[in-house]
Amino acid sequence: MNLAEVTKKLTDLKQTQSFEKTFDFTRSFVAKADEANAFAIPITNEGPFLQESYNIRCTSNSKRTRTYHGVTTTENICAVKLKFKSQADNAAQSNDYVPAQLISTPFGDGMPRYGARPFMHLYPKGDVLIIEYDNRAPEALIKPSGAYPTDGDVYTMEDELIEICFNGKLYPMNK
Amino acid sequence: MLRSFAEKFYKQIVDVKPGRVIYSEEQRDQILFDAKRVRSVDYVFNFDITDGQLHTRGVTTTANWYFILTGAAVFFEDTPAANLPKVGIKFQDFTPSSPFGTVPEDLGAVNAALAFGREGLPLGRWEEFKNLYFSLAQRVTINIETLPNNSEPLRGHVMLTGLEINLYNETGE
Repeated sequence: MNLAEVTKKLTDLKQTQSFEKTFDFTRSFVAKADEANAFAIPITNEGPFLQESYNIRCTSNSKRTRTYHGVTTTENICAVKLKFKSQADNAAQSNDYVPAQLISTPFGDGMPRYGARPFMHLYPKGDVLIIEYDNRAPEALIKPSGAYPTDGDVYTMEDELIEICFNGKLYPMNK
Repeated sequence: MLRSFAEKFYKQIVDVKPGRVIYSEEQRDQILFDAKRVRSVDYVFNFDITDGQLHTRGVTTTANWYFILTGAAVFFEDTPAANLPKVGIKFQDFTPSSPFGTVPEDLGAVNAALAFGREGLPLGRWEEFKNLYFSLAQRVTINIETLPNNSEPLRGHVMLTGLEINLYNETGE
């Protein structure tokens, strides 16, 4: 093997070995109380990113005060709903907003942590991930009735911290 | 840690072995193209039950993409005092044949696995399902039926996660 062949082999090796590498990117944001908004996260320009799973953690600062049949209880909740979308294909990854509590881990205070949730999506090179959130008060489920005129749900919305870590593979493109 | 059904399926398409010089530029392009035709999707439903009666919610999956159910989660905002609600699932509108050359089976067997709250599925936790190859179908309609069996008001959220696959050399763009 002459020098030219060795050089070519090393070049091939370098390029092909860098074809795939594991990659995590994280994002934390505050879902403002009583607000619905969206923001964009640029995916790295290094190459396509294949998301394989993600992990979400959220706070439960908001409160729901419920009066049902005259008895009042108060509970901490996280009413944030999320929707992810790739800007390149304009395809939402869910048919509607997903409650953060359905996809976050741990699910609640004192609950076990069970790791990232598998979720596959390929973002082309230069793509942008759009995250929409909604932290507005839900519609009341319990409403006053004739026999119990004081019944009802009252929501006190607070800012919630959402932390997301996307796990996947990055495919650096040299061309 | 158990590997998900989605990962098992996906690994057959993209199985890169680090350190090995095995890919040409064309092969790389094909890998990325194939990856684009496999994607996860969440279908979310919510329901308010205030009358203690059976309710049905439904959604239709993406046209021209095959759908495999891989997991689900359920979350009730309210804790029923007595009986937990039962959530069932029905698939409809299967195509007569599947790409595997078999007739899709009746998915009644899936229902029991999705009787949330009565079969040990922790509320709110996302669970993955296995051995659901027979749930491959093109544009299915998913129905959720809930039977709270009590009269207390109840609000719940259900999420079904699936793997959508396009077998027509299309990426849906």
